[in-house]
Amino acid sequence: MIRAAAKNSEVRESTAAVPVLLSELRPGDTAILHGFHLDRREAALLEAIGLTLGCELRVCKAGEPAIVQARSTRVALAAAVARGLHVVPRALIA
Amino acid sequence: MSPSPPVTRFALLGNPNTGKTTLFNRLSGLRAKTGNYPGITQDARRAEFRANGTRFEIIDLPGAYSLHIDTPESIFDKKLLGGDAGVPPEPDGILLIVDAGNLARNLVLVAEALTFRKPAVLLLNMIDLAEAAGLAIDRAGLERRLGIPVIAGNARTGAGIDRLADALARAQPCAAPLEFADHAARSAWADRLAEEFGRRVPGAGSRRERLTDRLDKFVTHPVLGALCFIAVMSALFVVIFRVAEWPMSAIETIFASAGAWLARVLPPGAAADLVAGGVVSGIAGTVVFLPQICLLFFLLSLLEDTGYLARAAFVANRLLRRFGLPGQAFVPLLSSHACAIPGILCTRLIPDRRDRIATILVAPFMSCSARLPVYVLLIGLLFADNALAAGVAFASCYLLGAAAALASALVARRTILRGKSPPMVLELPSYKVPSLRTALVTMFERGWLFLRNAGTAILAICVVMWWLSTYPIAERSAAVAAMHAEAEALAAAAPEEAAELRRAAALAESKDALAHSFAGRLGHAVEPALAPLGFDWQIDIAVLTSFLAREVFVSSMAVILGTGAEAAAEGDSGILGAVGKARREDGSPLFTWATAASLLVFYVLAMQCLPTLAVTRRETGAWKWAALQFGYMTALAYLAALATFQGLRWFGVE
Repeated sequence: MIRAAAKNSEVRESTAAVPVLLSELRPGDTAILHGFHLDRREAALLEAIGLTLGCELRVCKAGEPAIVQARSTRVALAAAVARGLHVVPRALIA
Repeated sequence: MSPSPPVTRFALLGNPNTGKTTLFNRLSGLRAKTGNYPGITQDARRAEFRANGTRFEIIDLPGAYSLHIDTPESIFDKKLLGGDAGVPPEPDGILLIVDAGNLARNLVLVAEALTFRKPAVLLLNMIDLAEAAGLAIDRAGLERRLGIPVIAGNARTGAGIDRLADALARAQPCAAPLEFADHAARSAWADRLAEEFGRRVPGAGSRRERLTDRLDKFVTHPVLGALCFIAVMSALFVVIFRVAEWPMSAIETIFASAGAWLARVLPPGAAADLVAGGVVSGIAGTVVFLPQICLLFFLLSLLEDTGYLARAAFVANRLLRRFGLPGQAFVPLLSSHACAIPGILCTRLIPDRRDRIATILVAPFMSCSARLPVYVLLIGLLFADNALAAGVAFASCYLLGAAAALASALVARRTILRGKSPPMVLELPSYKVPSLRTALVTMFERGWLFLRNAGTAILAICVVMWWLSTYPIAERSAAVAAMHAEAEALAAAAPEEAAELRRAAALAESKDALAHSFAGRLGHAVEPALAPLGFDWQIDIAVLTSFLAREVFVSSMAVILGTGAEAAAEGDSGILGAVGKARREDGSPLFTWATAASLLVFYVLAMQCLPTLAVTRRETGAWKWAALQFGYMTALAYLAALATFQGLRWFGVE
């Protein structure tokens, strides 16, 4: 279970299991967004952009930046942000 | 006369990249007014349009993803919708624009906006693109569910926009209150609605997605992306400078002719001098940069519309982050090569306040167009017979400015603007063919804003400078009077000699007048402080007068050396020749090699632009940043020029 590392950190999770870091996925992988381990403001911005807990992400490009697609929104994320997103790969759910 | 129809004021609200600006431009044409509100560095453009006998006013709000997050756009939009922004009356209704192809995410903001219980209309924008991507939206069903008029169309092509006025006239508040516990609940509602009313054909759009994937992989690649970025930005730079050359030289010619004509037709006296010497040159000095400003914003608008700029920000981020600046700082820094004012206005793209202030502080280090005449003059003096060395010197000036900007940004971020910057998160808009209409409207608006902001200040500066260098009027000296008397005596016997003597007398008289003027006295007063840099009082006057606008340096030198009219007729070479021959009071050359090099370094680094300081104050919301920018850049320029002059002399270069 991931815990808050700092006072202002946002640690929120959905109930699914076996999360990995988004930065560990490869292009073409799909996953369910499981939790944020980010600054509260960053987490709120990501949710507003459309990366909400439980949504499905498709990795379009890995690395710096990582590019993911959630619903019809394509978002580029600095590697530091990709390391703060916990996801459950679709392959593991299946 | 019938009374004018009542205004119905609608706030235009939407997520970024939904075509909000395109819709606003289509509705308003060129009639928009941009207002900046006290304490909030956000613009809300306003425009009126008339349809079906009703006058509508549209307020274009900054694009926001949500009204409940801590970003300047969200805070501003929420305040304005609630009538709490310290701005003119709150809107009567809300015109919501959503990207039809991204319904679920966009409906979250719709739900938030509808809680204000104002009459609302929803435009499903880019419906044709959504349909082409395999999405079938039940517009009527969505309209019934939300209880507000829903229009489908495309602001870029104008399809469906004719129905908007009618929809605005029958707008009503959402019947069912949409209160949610949190963002997750609102998002879940939006997801359900998008699924219910937006049916996606399985597999549709995947080819486009694959193409976008490939393009994104290329343009954000560490090596290929960087090469693509350099190519695009170089092309932008070349077009701005090359294409703008023609209108710029045409503008210079027109104003030079106008000044000469006014000097001929106006009765001689102070008024004629003011108009021909102060007002016309002041307007010319501003308008000459207009082609570059217009081209810059036209091309940036096209580039932004293609979807490339958001990707380019990530490429630039790799370099700029090492210096404490975000990737989004690249466009403002690039723009500052044309003029720091639009560059600073572009910093609104930067979400983090510390990043934004750091970019604003260092933007004027980039060599702007106003420095070009000074570079031409001084590099012409330094390397008169060596085109290659002159070219290298030009490039070095640009590099020195850019290096000073990056190093200063690093210092600022490690001292006064210390703190962690948020890592970059950017929505990547889809690749599109850019809208020419939007680019043209942006170009006209930005051009007008530049003329209004910078033009008025530069014009006032030129008038003040003319006054300072003209008054108090000096009595004719005995030596000049003797030269005139001698010329009179020689007039009949040797007319050519007499004419030469009159010219020499006029030159001596103009130098006497300047030395006696307020500007001349000021030049003498500061001479001890600037002498270690190799400047004498004549150069000091030009430096002081060009503090307000650096391009004034060349015309000031022309006035100081009494070559104004001749130089204007002969172009730069006229001023260059006069400056090369100019002497100090002790008879030594005014511009030694070391003095010219020191002055060049000073102009690369000095903050000599009052309009830029005014814009810095406006964009940062505090005079302290403008004062810091001025103090820091001036001190750095002084020290660098001092080191250049004294260093060259130490090595035996005079």
